[in-house]
Amino acid sequence: MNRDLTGATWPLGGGNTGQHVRDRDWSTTALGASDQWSAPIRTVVELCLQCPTPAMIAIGPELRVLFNDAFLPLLADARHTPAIGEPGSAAIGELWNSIGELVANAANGNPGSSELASIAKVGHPNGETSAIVSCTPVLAIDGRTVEGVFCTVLETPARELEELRDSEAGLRAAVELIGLGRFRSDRRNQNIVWDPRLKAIWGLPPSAPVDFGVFVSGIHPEDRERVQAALGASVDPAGDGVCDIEYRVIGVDGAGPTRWVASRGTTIFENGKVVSFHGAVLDISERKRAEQTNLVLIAELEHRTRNLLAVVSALAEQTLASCERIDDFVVPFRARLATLSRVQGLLSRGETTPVMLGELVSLELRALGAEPDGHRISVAGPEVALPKRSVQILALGLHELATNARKYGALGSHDGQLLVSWRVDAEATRRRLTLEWVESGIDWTRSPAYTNRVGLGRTLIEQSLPFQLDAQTRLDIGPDDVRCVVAMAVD
Amino acid sequence: MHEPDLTGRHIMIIEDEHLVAEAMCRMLRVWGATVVGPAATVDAALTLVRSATRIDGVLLDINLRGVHAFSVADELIERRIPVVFATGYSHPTIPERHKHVGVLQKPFSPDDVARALFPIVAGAPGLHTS
Repeated sequence: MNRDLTGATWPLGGGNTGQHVRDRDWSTTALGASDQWSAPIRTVVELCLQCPTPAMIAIGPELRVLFNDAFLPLLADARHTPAIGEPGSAAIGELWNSIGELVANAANGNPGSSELASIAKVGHPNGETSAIVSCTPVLAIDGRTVEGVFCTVLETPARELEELRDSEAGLRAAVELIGLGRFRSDRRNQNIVWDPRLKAIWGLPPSAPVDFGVFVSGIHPEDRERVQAALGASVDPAGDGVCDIEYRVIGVDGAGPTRWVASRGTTIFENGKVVSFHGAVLDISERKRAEQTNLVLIAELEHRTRNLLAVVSALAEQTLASCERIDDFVVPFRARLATLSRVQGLLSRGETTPVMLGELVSLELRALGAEPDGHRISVAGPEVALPKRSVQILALGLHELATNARKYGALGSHDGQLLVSWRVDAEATRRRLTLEWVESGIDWTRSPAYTNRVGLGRTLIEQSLPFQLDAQTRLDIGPDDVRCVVAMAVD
Repeated sequence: MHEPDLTGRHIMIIEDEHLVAEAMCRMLRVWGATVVGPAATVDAALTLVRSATRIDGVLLDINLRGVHAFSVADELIERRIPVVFATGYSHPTIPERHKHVGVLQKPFSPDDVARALFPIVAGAPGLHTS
């Protein structure tokens, strides 16, 4: 086949492919000689050959394919060039598998179309690439008969694909890091697709099918209505399409552990209609647990503070009742508040560090400048952890004993001695602590009124400790001594 | 407000903090009431409720030594004895069946106690437990 054989001068130009169109003897095909082709076909063939982007035209009932030079890289095989004008796959090989159906649709009288399609591409790393395939029917002069289909194939630029892949890789890394589960579905909650991580939250294996019933059955019954209402609102074209909600998941049919999840979904609308629903789910059980723990801690702290204020209020009343003049109020009240403050310091160390009796005794003695010296002031006893609720009232009792000892008793007498000692006895079901506070060598002549006095110290020892700790107590004031015994369970 | 008058009324105190319980007892005695208790534990409170000859109203701390005291409230309601809850929690967890009971938040003033106690005690004279 050559110019001499056909002598054709049409179509003009068109590079290699134009040459092949001119050289081919079309009279041996069903299309007939090219100078007999209809005006619309000849015009579109010219257009095709001149087109700077990949284009082809399929002509006649056999869909014989002509293409331009720009089309050649898609084929990536020079052997196709001589095949120009053959029907379908004979002309363009595997590429026909990707676009033949779209071309045939247009040839069968359907309107033109433009679609993103995966197309086979020899020599491409993946063996295929993405392209926008646009097909336009070529109508005869009668305006009805389809004589051919003009088709352009525009590859999605490689750089954009690269960027898309980068962005996808980044997104995947983020998804993996956070542990997101992902989902999508179409408009009627049909064709629901979940990734394995999301299925795991519902207690499903990666291969398990998912439908709307499965989704709902895994939601905590108390949260179902709320979730469905939020989903309903997000598919309303009048809204923003976003569904942002936290709820509890119990596993399919309640078979799993209860978890909290945060879910964010976005509805995609097209012309006011729902096209699809995409989103991600995050297991936030840990965060919820931490929030819950915080709330409990705050409530407990407030409970303790309010009770403390009630105690302070009662202490103020007690202190005031024992004052003859208002001026006598400040010093003892401030000292009592200081004791409460020290107790708060001990208790705030947390559950794992119990308050030891030894440190409590030493703390209250030192606060009055009475450092245990093993001689005049002795403190002796085994390490024993105090029940939490006993610390405050014991500290108040010790503070009153120590204050009285300094004002009237052993700590204020020249020859006075103080011994604070305790022991722990194991009983049938619990351990019992016996604490003795013994002052000796007291010269009562300095404060004769004290021995009969009923102050806060005596109230705390004789009433508060038995009431609050089921303790057995005694407070005896002798001719030259003070003897206080407190016995109580310590666990 | 004028000094509240609870003369002849028997008011029970259930509170595990002794200094606070004593302050409440003094307050009630000033108003002329006879104090029943105080009781510091659920068991002690139940024993006292069952043995007392007369209780006209109760101030009940709903947390006694770390234990919920709603079983005491059940016993009181069973005996048609009016009760007011006392608590250090801002948002105490109160069972549905006791949602109608008044709640006094600690720390409370004498006025607070009077306001909570008077409507339930003054309006129901002569309530006896036996």
